[in-house]
Formats: sequence, C-alpha cells, structure tokens
Amino acid sequence: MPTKDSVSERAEQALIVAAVAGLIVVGVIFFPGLEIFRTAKEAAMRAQAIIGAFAVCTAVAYGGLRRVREMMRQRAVVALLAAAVTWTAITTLTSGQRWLSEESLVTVVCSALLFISVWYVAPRVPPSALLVLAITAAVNAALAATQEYAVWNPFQFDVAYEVHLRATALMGNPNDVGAYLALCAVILVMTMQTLHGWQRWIAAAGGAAALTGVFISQTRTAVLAVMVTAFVMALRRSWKAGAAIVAIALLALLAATQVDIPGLSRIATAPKYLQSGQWNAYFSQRLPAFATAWAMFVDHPLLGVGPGAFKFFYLPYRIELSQVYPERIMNGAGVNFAETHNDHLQLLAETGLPGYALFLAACGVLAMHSLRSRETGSEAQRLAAGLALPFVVVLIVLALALFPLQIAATRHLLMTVSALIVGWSRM
Amino acid sequence: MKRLLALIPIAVACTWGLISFVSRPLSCNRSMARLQASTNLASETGDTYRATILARTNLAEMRRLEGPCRTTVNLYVLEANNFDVLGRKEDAIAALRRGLKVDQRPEIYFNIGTLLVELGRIDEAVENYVIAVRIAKSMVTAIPSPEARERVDRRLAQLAGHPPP
Repeated sequence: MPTKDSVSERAEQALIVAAVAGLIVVGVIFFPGLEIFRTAKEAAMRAQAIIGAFAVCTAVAYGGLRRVREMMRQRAVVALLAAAVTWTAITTLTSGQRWLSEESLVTVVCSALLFISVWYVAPRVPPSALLVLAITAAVNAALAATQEYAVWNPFQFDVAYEVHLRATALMGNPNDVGAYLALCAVILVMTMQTLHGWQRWIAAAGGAAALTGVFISQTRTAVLAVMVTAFVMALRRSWKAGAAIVAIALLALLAATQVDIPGLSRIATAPKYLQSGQWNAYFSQRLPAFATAWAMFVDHPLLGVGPGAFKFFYLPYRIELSQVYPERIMNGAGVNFAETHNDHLQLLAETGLPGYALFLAACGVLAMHSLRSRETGSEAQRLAAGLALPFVVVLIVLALALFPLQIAATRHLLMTVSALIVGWSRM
Repeated sequence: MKRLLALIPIAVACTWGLISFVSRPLSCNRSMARLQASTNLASETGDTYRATILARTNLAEMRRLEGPCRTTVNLYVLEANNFDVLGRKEDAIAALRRGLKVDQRPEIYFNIGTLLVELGRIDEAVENYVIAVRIAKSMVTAIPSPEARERVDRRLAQLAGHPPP
C-alpha cells in the first residue's frame, strides 16, 4: 500500500509533468473537425486544468496544507484569482447572451485552475523547463515559413484563401502565429540570460526561431510588441541601451520603406495610410470592431454585455454606429467580428470597468515581481524577476490589436508562465 | 481511507468536467465537419431520393447535437440547409432564427431573406436583406429577386440620406 507521502509525491510529479507537457502539447496540437486548431488547443488547456485540479487535491489530501498556506500568503494573487472568477460569474448572470457567457465562464474557471495547478508545483519546476518552448517555437516558425513561401503546406485550404492566410503553422491563423511566437521569443530570450552552458544555447536558438517566425507571420502588432519589449528590457540596463534599440528600430523602419522586409514594411507604411485618411485600411478594417466594443462599454460601463457576448451584439451596434461615425471608419470587412481584435476594449465591452481593472491589476501584480533583484537569489528567482516586466509589456502591446486572452495557445502560455513567475519569486 | 473517500467526489466532478468541457466540444467540432460534408452532398446530388434520405439522417443527428453544440452557429445553418433540401422552408427559416439567437451574422439574415423570397414574402425578405447588406454591401448583387434587390437599394439610399429619384 503506498504511503501518504508517496501518493502526494506522485501527484506533485504528475503536476510537474503536466505543466511542462502542456507547454508542448498546446503549442502543437490539432484535431480533425470543422475548426482544427483553436478547438483542440482549448480542449487541451481545459484537460490540463481539470487533471491538474485533481492532482492538486490529491497532493493536498495526502501531503497536507503546507504549500497551500504558502500560496495563501501571496494575498494579492489569491484575491485577483478569486475576483476574476467571481466577476466573470456575476457578469455571466447578467449577460445579454447567457449561453455564450457560460462558455466563457468555463474558460475562465479552467484558466484559474490551470494557474493554481502550475503555481502549486512551481517551486519544483526548474527554469530549464521553459526550454520546451524552443521546440514549439521552432516547429511553428519552420512550418509558417514553408507555408508562407509556398514550399510545403500539410493542410488543405479553400482556393479563395490567399497564400499569406494559409501560413497558419499549427496555430490556425498568421496573427495567432505572430502572437504566440512573440510571447515565446520574450520568454526564451529572458531564459537565455539566466541559464548557462548548452541550455543557454538552446534558449538562444529557440528565441531566434521565435523572432524569425514573428517576422515571417507579418503580424504588425507582434513585431511592434517585440520592439517595445526590447526597448523596455534595454532601458532596464541603461538609457543608452534603450536609445540604441530605438535607433535600430528607426533604421530598420527606414530600410523597410525602401526594401520589402516582412512585418516591418507594413508598419513603415503607417504615415502614408494615416495621412491619406485610410485609417480603417491600415488597421485591417478593425476600426468598426473597436468602435462597437467602445459603444458597448459606454452603454454597459459596470457589467458589460457579458463574457463572450461581443460577437452576439456586434451586428446591431455596428448598424447603429454606421449612422454615427464616418464611412472611412465604419466601412470594414463585411463579416461579423467574433473578437474585437483588441483585448483591452473587449474586456471593457464584455465585463465592464471592474473586469478591465482586474486585468490591469493582474498585470501590475505580475510586473511587481520584477522589482526583486535580478542578480541575487536562485536561478528561478532571477528568471522570475527578469521575465515578469517584459512578459507584461509584450502582453499589453499584443492585446492592443490582437486577442491573446481569447485563444487557447496564447492564454495557456500566459497562465503557465505567470504562475511560474509567481511561484518562483517566493521560493 | 478518509482521504480516498474525500477524493471520490472530486474525481467524479473532474470526470464530468472532462466529458462536458473537453470531450463534447471536440466531438461536436468533429460531428460538424462530417455533417457539413454530408449536407453538401445532399444539396449537390442530383438524386432526389438520396438527397431526402441524407437530409433526414443529417437532421436526426443535428437534433441530437442541439444540446451539446448549442453555441455553434454552423449547426443551425446546416440544419436550415437540410430543411431546404426537404422543401421545408418554414422550418429552415426557424432554424436560422435559432442561429440568430447565438450569433447575429449578416449571412444568416441574407439566407432568411432568400428563403422568404422563395416563399413569396418579399416585404419580410427586404427587412432581412437590409440588415445583412448594411454590414456586407457586396451581398446586394447576390439577392436573387430583382424586385427585392431594387427595394433594398432604395432602402439603403434612404438610410444614407440620398432618396432615390
């Protein structure tokens, strides 16, 4: 008969394996169906969260509450987790489209469970565990390249799809590829600075693959997010390093006006588009989505329209707003936007000001972990201190024109790495 | 023993969670792909008997999926297509209206408009077309009825503040 300690130990080992395996599985998994990428990744994330919750319960039942008490001491994190789930439940109850909001509530609860299960075991997860992201980054970047340059594509697409939109890698969409790889790039570059020897080389190779993938995906927001994060990281060293990053970025943009550089050339054309009043064209026809989300927030500032309900209310708001805003703003793609393509606005629209305040507070609490010294402490503590701020910066910028909180690939990465940062910094 | 007993309800809850929130969405997604292929076959086959059998089989499976896949708007669109194959246009419209309770897509309004045109209810059709076309202007050219198209054009001109001559 296994002893109490051995059962608890096995449960914790299962949690470590799940935390590391989850990073690989969610990055590469797909499943046949009407939609082959996002649904599979969402299912994988939920499965890890539910199995992780059971493993945590087993570890607590047989190993005692010592680790739970340690976690409870980080009151800000506990309060934010509880508040996020509670507020989502409240806004689901008041939602204008309950079915869709219930789906979002499940996602939020699973995200919280995933966070707790990784946080519980974080002190036993070595920083080198993040090196598995080098594999997923390399696989996705390589596949995106072969698809973008029409060398090889394992997936079949409608003939109407232009080649660039077929560069889905294992994510489902070039923008998803850009967002995922931008997060991987920042994590791997910061991990590289902490690790030594061959591990540093693997992190460097993974980071380089992820960065290359960001440019191959031609996702402007991801390129911008990487630039801003590089600036913040450099600024933490010295203002001269920050100035050097700005100079390099300006030179690269200048070069991109003359030569076609994937990702950069589209950013460099911004002044031309904006001067000629083609704002909506520059924002890939997303301005109607931004405007409708803002209008939903103005109408429902406290509770929002309900989690996941943006897409349901988009059409009536869009029709109403086409009488308010000029044609050059509202003349967008003739489709229903399922997502706002701006998580800041979508959170405001769906969960009101309290929901968005919770997001900002979570970013603030996570970024505060960077206030600790990056020179002292264990390897994990130094990585947590180094990674926290850049990780928050890349998320905030990505959320300006993408939706990293809405898709499982990026949300899983955000939850796992945030939990590791929180767990590592208090070892 | 006490610990094991305490874990049993948690294990049951987790199993229920895995079935409801992991397995069902995956199987729903897979069933939808199969149903789409089968619906396309029913619409495109020239054999009326085969189309009827396929559409009936599809609808039976869709009825089973209406619970677990209730937030999948494609389910209602495919249901409408199968009703249309059977010539049950009222039922097709009702299915599309159920879809609008999940996602108010312009193409659903457009499809309702087209079914209403086929039923000769032009006034109602125009209302639905106008909603669709205000989001997706290119859809105007796809309106099958010249009368409905003309009335939609007139309504759009009025809404834009340019009354037609």
